[in-house]
Amino acid sequence: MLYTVSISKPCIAYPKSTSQSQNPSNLKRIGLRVSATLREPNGVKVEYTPWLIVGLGNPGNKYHGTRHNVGFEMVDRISQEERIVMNTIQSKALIGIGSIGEVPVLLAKPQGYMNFSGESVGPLAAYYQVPLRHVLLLYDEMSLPNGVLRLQPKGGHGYHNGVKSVIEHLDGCREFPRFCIGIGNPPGTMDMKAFLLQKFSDVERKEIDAALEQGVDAVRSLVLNGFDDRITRFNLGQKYKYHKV
Amino acid sequence: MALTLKTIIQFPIFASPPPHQPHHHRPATEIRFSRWNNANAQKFIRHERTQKETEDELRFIKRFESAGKIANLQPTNTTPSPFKSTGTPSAPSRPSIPGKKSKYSKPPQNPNPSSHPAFKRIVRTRKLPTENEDETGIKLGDKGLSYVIPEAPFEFQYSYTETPKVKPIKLREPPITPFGPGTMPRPWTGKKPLPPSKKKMDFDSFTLPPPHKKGVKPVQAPGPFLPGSGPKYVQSREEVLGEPLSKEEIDALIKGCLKSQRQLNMGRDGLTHNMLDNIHAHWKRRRVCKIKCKGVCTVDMDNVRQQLEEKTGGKIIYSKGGVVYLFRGRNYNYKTRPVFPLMLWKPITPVYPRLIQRVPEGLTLEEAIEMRKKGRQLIPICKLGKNGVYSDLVNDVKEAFEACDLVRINCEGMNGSDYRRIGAKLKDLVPCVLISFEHEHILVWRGRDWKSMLTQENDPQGAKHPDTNTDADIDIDTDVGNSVVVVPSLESSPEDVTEEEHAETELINSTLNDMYGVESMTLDGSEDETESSSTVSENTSNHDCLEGVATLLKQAVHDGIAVVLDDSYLDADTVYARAVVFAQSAPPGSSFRHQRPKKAATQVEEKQEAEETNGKEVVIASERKKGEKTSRTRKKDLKDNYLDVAPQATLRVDELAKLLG
Repeated sequence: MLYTVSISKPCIAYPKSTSQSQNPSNLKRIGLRVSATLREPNGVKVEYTPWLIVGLGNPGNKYHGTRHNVGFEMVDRISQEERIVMNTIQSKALIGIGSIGEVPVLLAKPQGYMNFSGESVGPLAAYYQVPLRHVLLLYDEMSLPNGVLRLQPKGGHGYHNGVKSVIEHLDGCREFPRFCIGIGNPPGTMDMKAFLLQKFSDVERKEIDAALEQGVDAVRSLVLNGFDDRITRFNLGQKYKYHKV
Repeated sequence: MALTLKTIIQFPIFASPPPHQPHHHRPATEIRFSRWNNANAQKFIRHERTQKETEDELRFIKRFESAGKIANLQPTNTTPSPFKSTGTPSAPSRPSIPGKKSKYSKPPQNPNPSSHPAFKRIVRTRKLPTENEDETGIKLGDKGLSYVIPEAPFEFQYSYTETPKVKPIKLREPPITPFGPGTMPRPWTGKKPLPPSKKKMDFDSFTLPPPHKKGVKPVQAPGPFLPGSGPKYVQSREEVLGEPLSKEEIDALIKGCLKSQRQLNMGRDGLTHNMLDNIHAHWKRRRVCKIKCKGVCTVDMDNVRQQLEEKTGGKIIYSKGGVVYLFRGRNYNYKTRPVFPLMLWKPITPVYPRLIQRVPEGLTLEEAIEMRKKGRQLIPICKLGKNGVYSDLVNDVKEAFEACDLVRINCEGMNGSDYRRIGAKLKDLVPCVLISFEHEHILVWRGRDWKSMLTQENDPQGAKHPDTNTDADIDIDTDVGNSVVVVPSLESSPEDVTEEEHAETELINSTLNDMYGVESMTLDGSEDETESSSTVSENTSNHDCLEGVATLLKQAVHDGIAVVLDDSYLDADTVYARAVVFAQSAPPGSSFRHQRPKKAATQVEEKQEAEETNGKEVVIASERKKGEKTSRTRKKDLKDNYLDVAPQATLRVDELAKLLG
């Protein structure tokens, strides 16, 4: 990981406020400090509150590589790139902690079947005190063409049973960020469930692999910088990435 | 009997045979004619001798004979033989002569293309009327075809939004104004004119007819009026509009209109001249006119709105997608409205220059052909339906240009002129070059002078936020336009730290600074201390977070709600099996409780409470009913800082539980 050195504009521009009592983060001095943020009035928030990155999928080798399990594949990819070992089982999910850059990150793969993913995610978020806006859900999206990724700060469930259950267990809130990985519509009159539990075709496999690479970059950017202009550009680029000749 | 001339080679080949004269009692004729519709027949053309020819021949014969008499060379031995008439050659009957029409036959068709009047190429080019504007004139300017009528507030056009803003090349027909003459004579019906209607319309927009009056359609009251003012008789546009409408008034007006079916439709001709009259007719009865735009005109909704406001004098109070709500003005009076002559017929569209040239500007022929070839394989960015709302099309095309220089739009199923009009509009709005319209798709190229929006976006942001990060963005993301995938640059900006997290020296761990040592070295010397301390504090806070999470994990393992697996057990199936087994034995976890954003006053309260209960960081809530909260009533996003205050159980229910449990 390269750390870019940015030479600062000296902080003379900002009044050096010695007011330390403003920020209620001073409360955190006592006990465990799990979440902290350094905020600048008009600067980029570099938040160190941990992120919970959950990939949705069905457990077991039988479902490995199917369309519905792209979430798992994405999480595996992230754990490879960031060298986070996932070896702990907690609350019906396989988790691993680590950090992307300086931000602590918790990767999770719920081991309950898709419809019960929420039962793992809710308790995990509660236990590690991850705020709602730092719960990132990775899942497959049929409304996007194959291999197109999209990062949204909030959204609906899109008739995805996994997302529905997560929403239910997160107290009915939908305002958590999502990472949608497109898998395309089922062709013709194919049954939706059969389509989802099918493995990818060769062409699609290649597209998905490329997409996963790009996705890891995007997740890094999101975790470090939050939702900003880059994410919008990323989404735009993904939307039109197959319209090239 | 056909008379044919046959030449038979009887003699040796080398010599040409002498012409063999058939000896008939009739002189040889070259004319072949048939009596009974022979296929070989030629048209019977009887050469009628003119008077002059006859006279000439007679003169010739006389002179010859007189000359002979004089010269005595040719003694006229015999008396001139008595005239014997050879008889009129029998004329073939009428029907068998081709070329003559009778009641039994038609003359043969003569498929000679050059002679049919329809195919005669007569180029009638009309001269364009010169630019000098007469009193009533048809003006062909840069804004297209428009009609100038004296004392009219603006130039009249057939369509105010759809006229191409190019000068036409020529007119197909002689230019005439589509407005009727001032006084139309009554067309002849054969009856006396109807008696004038005895309806006494003393009503004004302001003095309304009484409701339930027989024979009068309902008229809505003028207004809405601010308390303390009434309708005013005014003429100027601004005064007719009156005060700007307040939000409640707008809401009330729109609410009344939302579900009404009474609306005007705007289609591929956009805002036509006669539509202005329709709008005024709507305004006679109701305050707000609802206009639904569909199809081509929605590509440029901004122009549509601007033209509507300008030409009608009303105000747009609400517009979304293809719907526009036009308010007539507080002091609008139907009697004093501006009246324009109606267009009685649709003027013929003049000829505009072609949209697509074979070699578009800025390209050579080879490049153009190359682009068209590439375009055939391109995936279209969207499909347009026949009467849809295309307000996002321009933006989509602009975005798509970021990815590729060619963009294809699927317009199958639409009218041919429709997608060509859309193409023309795109050419102006998104500056682009039209390449082809084949297969009912629009193919556009972004042009050579295309600048990406992304590089432009960076700069204004850099100006607004004099921030190190965005500046570094500009430096680092130099090839933004090319790279579609954004490679985020990691920037930790210790300089941005305020002094909130100031030095907690007991947690300074110099070994941790190895990773961040590079940055601390680059800091300015003057602020070294504070910044280094801030970096340290930032490092510590970050490290604390990670440590915190790690500690939590260890705690969990210790408590028995988590178990660490060995590397050999990381196969999917074994993990699953293990998870199942473990889940049965482990105690149930806590449920996620989301704090609803509350008002400021209560929040301060919460913070104070949070301080007190800060000792309990880990919330292990007792089992609560899930259905407690109505999850559907959430409306607002989180806007508060949940940074430091962990989702505590600080609700009234929780307090109750604490008291009880």
